[in-house]
This record gives sequence, C-alpha cells and structure tokens, in this order.
Amino acid sequence: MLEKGKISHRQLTVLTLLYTIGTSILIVPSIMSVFSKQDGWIACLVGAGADFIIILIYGALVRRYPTLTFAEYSEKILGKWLGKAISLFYLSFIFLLSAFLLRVVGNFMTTHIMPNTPIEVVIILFMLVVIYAVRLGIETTARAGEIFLPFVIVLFLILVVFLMPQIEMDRIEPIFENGMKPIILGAFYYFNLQEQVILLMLLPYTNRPEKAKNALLAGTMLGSVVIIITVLFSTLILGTDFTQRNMYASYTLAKQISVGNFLQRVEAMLAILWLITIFFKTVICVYAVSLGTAQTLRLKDYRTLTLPFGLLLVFLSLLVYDNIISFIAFTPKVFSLYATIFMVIIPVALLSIDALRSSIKGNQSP
Amino acid sequence: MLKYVLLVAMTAVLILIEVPSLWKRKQIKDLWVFSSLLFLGIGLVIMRFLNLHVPNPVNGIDYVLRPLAEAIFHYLGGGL
Repeated sequence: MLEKGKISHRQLTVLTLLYTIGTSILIVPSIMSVFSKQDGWIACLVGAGADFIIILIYGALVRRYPTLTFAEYSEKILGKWLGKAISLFYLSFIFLLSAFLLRVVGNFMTTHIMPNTPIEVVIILFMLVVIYAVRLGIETTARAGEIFLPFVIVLFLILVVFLMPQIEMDRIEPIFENGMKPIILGAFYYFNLQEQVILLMLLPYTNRPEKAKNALLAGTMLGSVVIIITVLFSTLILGTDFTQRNMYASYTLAKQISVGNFLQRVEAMLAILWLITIFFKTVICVYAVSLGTAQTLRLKDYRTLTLPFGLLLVFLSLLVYDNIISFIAFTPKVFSLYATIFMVIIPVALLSIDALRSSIKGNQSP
Repeated sequence: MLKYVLLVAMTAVLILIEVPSLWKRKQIKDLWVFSSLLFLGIGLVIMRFLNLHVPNPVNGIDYVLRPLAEAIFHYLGGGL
C-alpha cells in the first residue's frame, strides 16, 4: 500500500461534493446558456442523471476490485503491458486535466481579481499549496475538506438568499423552445465536465470501499444541486444573452447583489467559494496522478513524484492555451469528447472484459 | 538572468528535499524516476526561456478529435 491513510464514508461524500462544484460553478453557466439557451438548467438535470448512471457502472467495477485503484485493476484485467499502457493513457488525461485546472485559476485571477500580477506567479503559488496538500496525504486533505465545507455552504446560501429578490421568472420562458437537441448537447457537455472517474483512485482508501458508491452518489447529487441552482439563477437574473457574453457568469451574478444600497460588491465571496472548491479538485487530480504513476511504475512512495510533477504541471498549464480564445475554442467542443473516452469508454470496456473473463473462468471451473 | 538563477535555486531546493532520504533508503528506481522527471521539467522550462517551440499536446488532441466533435455539435445544432 502506497497510501496508509484512511478516509471515512462521510469524508468521501464531502470530497465528492467539493470536487463536483469544483470548476463547474464558475464556468458552466456561460457555456450552458450558449449550448442550451434558457433551458440550461434542464440540460444540467439530464447531465447529472447521466452522471448517476455512470457512477452505478463504476460501482460495479469497484465491487469486483474493492481494494485496488483504477491504475492497479486495469493491469489485473488487461494483463501487464496492455494494462500499464491503459493506465498511463488514463494518467495522461488526469495530468492534462490538472494543468487545465491550474490554468483556469490563473486565467480567472488575472482577469478578474489581480489584473497586474503575472499569471505565472498565481499558478506557481497555487501549485505550491496543492503540492503541500498532496504530500500530506488524502486523510489530511479529507479533514481539511470537512473544515472548509461549512464555509462553502454558508457562502453559497448567502449568495442564493441575497439574489432571490432579483429573480424574474419570465426569463426562462419559453421552455423547450428549440426542442431536445440543444438540451442533449448541454447535457453532454455538463456530464463530461464532472470527471467522476478520477475519484476511483481514492476509493480503496475509504474504510468500506464496497459502500463507497453511495458516497459518490450523494456527493454528486449535492454538488449537482449547487450547479443547477447557479445555472438557473444566471438565467433568471442575468438572462440568456448576458450570461452567454460573460465567461464567468456566476461571478457577474454575484456582482448584482445589492441590498438596500448598503450590501454591495460581495462577488469576492463567490471567488473564495470557487477557490476552495477548485483547490480540492486540483488536489484530488494531482494526488490521483502521483499515486497512479507510482503504482504503475511500482515505486515505493508517491511523494517522490509530487515535486517534479508540480514543475511539469506549471509548465504545461502555461503551454496548453495561448490565450482565452483558444480555451473557448477547445474546451467546450473537443475536451468533452476527449473526456468521454476516459469517463465512459475505458471503464465500460474494462468492466465488460472483466465480466467476460470471469464468466469464461466460471464455465471452466465446475 | 534572474530567471535562470531562480531555476537553479528551485532545482537545488527540490533535490535537497527529495534526494537525501531516497539515497539513504537505497530506493534507486525512485531516484531514477525522480531525476528523469525533474530533468525533463527543467529542460522544458529552459526551452520556454529561450523561446523555442515546444509541441502542445492540446493541438494533437484537437487535431484527432476535432472532426468528430464538429460533427456531433453540428448534428445537435449547437451555436458557438
């Protein structure tokens, strides 16, 4: 065992919740209203439903190998070399995703909060904290998650309550204006932004891995509720056009808060909420990629890898996009398809190969 | 010049953090993986400092998946 820490059922739920809110709360509203117009919230509902179905499939995979991580059982199922190749392919996805997350933090901080600070400084400082958390292990991270969860909930509730008076219901009408197709498109995008498959790297370290599926489902459900409320509020308060034109629509949404000309400019609260959640998402991704690489290469400790990975991730995050335009061109269209390979195709293929093999073995033995 | 000094200082710190304990515990394989990843990282950073072209993995993914992605988005009638 590379990781000696254990996390409880409830801590896994908290981590899943923070992971699901992750980047989505800031980025999803704008892109959903581009794809699905005023029906973005329906698309989120459909996407969350698809997430539940895929988690049930992951649950079947976990039930077969409750004590192994994804990187370990791909080797068990596919044999040594093919399994290692699949693991490394899968790890490259997590690595790239971590770089994207870092870049999103950098982009947001430099465009909205600290415009005069170079993006490198923001990314390096964020990465240092992430690496520190990863080196402390999953148990510490999970406890930190429990400490931060009340802040996230309170900040979100404050935003929701103060935005209530500005709702104008006619902004989500007409519902189903363009039929089902744009909704499916939005749902496809939303589904692929959740990347719940990476959480499979944590499941062996829960104290009852066979029950972990329920924790994943509960965390995803709570997280999806937060995202759906955000998308709904963006449409109801800003309207579809304005949401489309703002890359960080929920940040603009928080700027609308004005209670009696006294309580204003509280958008930093949303930024804090988002920084907490994206911090946990990045920690989980970097942790998963370090642990997975250590398991695939049979190293003694995953902590050795964290520092060089940090350097490579900072470099890669500065390389992946030239500017925000190439981010917009890549992420919604191509990234969701790229993520589908790892979220759906590889786990389903592993599960069916394993089921086939065990049924062949079952026929031979009696 | 400052950035090279910073890079060397950072490398020294990373080596000081990891290498002595690995060396003491005789984990030669871990040491190999650590040093090759570190040198890969440093090499790439120096290439960036010199403004050399580094291939971007995102462009490769974009090249492979773009046609299918466009087809799906065209069929489902996405704007953008």
